[in-house]
Amino acid sequence: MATEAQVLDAIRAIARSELELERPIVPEDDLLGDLLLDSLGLTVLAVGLENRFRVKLSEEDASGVQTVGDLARHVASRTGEA
Amino acid sequence: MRAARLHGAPQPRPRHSSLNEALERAAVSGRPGLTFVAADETETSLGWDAVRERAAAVAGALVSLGVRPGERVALVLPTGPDFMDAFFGTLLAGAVPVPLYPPVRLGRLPEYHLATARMLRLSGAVALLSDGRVGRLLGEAVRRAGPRLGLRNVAGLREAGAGPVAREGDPGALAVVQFSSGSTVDPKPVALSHRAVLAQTDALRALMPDDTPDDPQLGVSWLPLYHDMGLIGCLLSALTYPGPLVLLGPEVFLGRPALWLRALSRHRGTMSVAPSFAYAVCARRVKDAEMEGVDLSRWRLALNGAEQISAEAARRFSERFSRWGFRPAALMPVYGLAEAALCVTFSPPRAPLRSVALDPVELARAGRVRPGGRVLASVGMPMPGVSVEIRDESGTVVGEGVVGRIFAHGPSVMDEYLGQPEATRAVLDGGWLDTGDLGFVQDGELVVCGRAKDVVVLRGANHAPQEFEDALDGVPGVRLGCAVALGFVPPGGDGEELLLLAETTAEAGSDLADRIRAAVAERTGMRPHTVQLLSPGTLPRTSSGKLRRSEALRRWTTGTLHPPARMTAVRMVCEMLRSAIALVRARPQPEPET
Repeated sequence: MATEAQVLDAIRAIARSELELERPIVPEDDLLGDLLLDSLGLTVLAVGLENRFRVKLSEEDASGVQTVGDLARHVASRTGEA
Repeated sequence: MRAARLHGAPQPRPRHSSLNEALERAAVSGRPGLTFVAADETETSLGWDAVRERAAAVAGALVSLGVRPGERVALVLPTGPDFMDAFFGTLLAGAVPVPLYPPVRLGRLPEYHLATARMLRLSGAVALLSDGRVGRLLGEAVRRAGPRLGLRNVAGLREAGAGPVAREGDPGALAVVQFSSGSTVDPKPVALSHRAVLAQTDALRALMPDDTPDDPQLGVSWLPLYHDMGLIGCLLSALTYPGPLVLLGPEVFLGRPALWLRALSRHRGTMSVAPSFAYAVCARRVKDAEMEGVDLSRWRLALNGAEQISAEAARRFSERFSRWGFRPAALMPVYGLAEAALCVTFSPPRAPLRSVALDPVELARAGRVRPGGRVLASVGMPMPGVSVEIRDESGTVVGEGVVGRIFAHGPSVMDEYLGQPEATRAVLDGGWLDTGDLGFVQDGELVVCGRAKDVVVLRGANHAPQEFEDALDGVPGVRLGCAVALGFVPPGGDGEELLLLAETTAEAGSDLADRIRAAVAERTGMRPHTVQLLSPGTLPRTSSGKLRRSEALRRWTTGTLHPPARMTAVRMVCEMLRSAIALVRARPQPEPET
């Protein structure tokens, strides 16, 4: 089971290496509004987290996710289910 | 001056009378079938015989549900065995598969529901096939469109034990409906007969190397199966070859682009096709460590199409991956559109790409090809069986080197936009398809340089919107590739003026509109009348991500161009409730098993 902090680190790593985002990322960042991710960017991020934490993010429950913090919490809770 | 008219080699003789027959022949061929690669690089194989057997079971269930020959059955499924069961099961039931795109992870559902419902209605689908996971999100779309047989789980159909069915396919009958990704119009249901699809795969086969013991052929694709390039260019090509195809889901590629190249290496792949941006993404994101032990030297056909080809991206890809055996001559630009089943022209293997550098202003204003700074790649010569003409506004074929509308003729051109005679008449005349694209012929090859339906007319001169949009590349604060240029008539004005709608990034300053005006003026000599800055995601796009200019203009003109709605937890619950209510209302149609 992963902690939110571990997921947050992974989000930062994906943002830097895969999404080429240079800015620092904080949990309050809005995925669309602050990180300016489009559907491609969201897919890259979601799939990167799925691969890293061996979870399957369904379109359904992940749609309630709005900020980086929401996403970290969501992924951490999903890793706890296994 | 020679007329701008090109002819491909003769169309090869048909190898099959229907896709159903092709599946039957592949199943007994003993040739390798499909391999699915997951994100962790584990693989699942499905032989063509297993594809047929599973499809026959699904067909039995569809027939006993009451699906009649010729009826459309929509499918929303990720790349995997379930997709094959649904697609080929529908065909074996004598019905017509309509693959639609699945929702995007972390994506916006309300727009997805609307678009899916619309496509269900336009295609006249009697049922929607899905799996348990994606199916949960489709209730709203099904409620809105109301297909007669509702939403069905393909695994449930396969296991229903209705007994296998394999109806014949009639060559002239409708085989597949695919939605066009035309940037300028709403998605339209493109109706393709068995004959048209097979003419396309026969022509593609003529371009492919022969399979021999010393030189076995194998395709690899991560392209979505709800668009022509993945469905017809990869899956149905492999079916009719028949031969092996290694499939990754688009999300697998986007999550980690190296997996595409690694699959090509691991399976000794010889053929793969992708849009220009994929080559650019690989050059940028794939790391050396991910390429350890990779050998791309067997990759013979690296087709590049589906969008304007960036000669620069192609060059960067070739440079980056030649170390791992990639052959630059393998990169071959192709041009096509859903209305022609897929491919219209292809370029022969050669390196570097043939390209022309043109003056974009002169090109749009006078339709003349003059040297300048805009680099365009040649997309080569017509496919076997295909003819191409460049025509002016009056319908007369122009001379070589003159820009006009690209028309295509050939056996894989669609029959119609399903149930839309007026829209069909607008693009089809005497078997000639108006592609809506602008291009010219130079040295016996086609160069695509814009889209006719998006022309901006300023002071009597025609301009391609790309001309202005390209001027914004590199302007800090403008999202790359997220701006549209349009013509509009301001109230009280003398005539059409230039409007720029641009999505902004965090770097946008208060003077951004001025800097955009300056950049456009400097690059094109035209000064925008109005520059409108927008939040990211506001501009409407097609399912394949192309900007929809005329829709953007329509929304801007009508004051309905708004940023995307955010999906909150509360709204999500409301959406879910509505879906649940829809399913209850839809009874006695059963909820799909999960």
